[in-house]
Amino acid sequence: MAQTITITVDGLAEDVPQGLGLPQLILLHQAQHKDLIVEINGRFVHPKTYDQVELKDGDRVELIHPAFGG
Amino acid sequence: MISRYTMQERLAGWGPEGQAHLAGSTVVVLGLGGLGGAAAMLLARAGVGRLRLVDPDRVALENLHRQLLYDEPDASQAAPKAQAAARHLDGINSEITLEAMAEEFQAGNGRELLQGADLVLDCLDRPQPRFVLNEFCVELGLPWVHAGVVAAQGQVLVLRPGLTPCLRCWFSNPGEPALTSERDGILGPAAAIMASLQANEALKLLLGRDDALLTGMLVVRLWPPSFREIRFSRGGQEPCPVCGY
Repeated sequence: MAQTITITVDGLAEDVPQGLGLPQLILLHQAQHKDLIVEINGRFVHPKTYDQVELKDGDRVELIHPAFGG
Repeated sequence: MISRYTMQERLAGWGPEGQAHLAGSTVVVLGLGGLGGAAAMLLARAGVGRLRLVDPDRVALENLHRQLLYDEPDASQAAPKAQAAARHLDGINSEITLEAMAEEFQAGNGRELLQGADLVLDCLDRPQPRFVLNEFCVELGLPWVHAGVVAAQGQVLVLRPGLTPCLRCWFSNPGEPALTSERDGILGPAAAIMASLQANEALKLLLGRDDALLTGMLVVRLWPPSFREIRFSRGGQEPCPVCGY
């Protein structure tokens, strides 16, 4: 059985497969809109680096769609 | 002697000198909806000497749940927001100068609307003109405070060309937003909270309180509540095509 890690996404704990990449997490959450902002452990993740990010146990991830209304 | 501004002049680092500085300042408020109306009201009450109020729209009944400056007579007359805002703000603080501009901020008139500004508040209601403003502010070296709100969430950024990332650094893929007020609505308290946070950063900028400024992006969610400040990282990528940061 594949090993899992526990991460927090938008404030909720979630078990995901070890080795899960950020692009896969975005797909799992159906958050793949082009204006998405990703924060991991308090730091902005540049969209061009999503492919390089592998999630680690304990990571706190926020998937944020900006609000452009006024 | 107690004056109009005594209670804020007592704040650390404010005083009569800070108040005089506010009185000599010009702030352009772009957009006079839920954000801009409330933010402009706070700056007027604080004694910012000149406010340029820019919005092409008219007040409608469906604005009133969140747009604190306006009332039913404004809505029934479909009053231009710029003029209605100036009239209400004049009733709040007649010592300041109010310029009502019922115009849409865009590339063609942006330079004119920003003329003489010390600071801009981005309270616009769509992404595209916000990125136009970004380019003007980078070119002019003009500091500004961005805020946005949809549903029960929003974000605030302090943008200082040459010192901070610009709007395009944070949002590298501008386009149609995932969240829209037309589909997702806007919570009245969310607009008021984001406007207050925006006005708060504006006052710090005007008072030279750089030490107290927001340094990242403040993302606020209210249902359930969370306030998160995100630190920027370029992640080793090329400098921004707009600001070079």
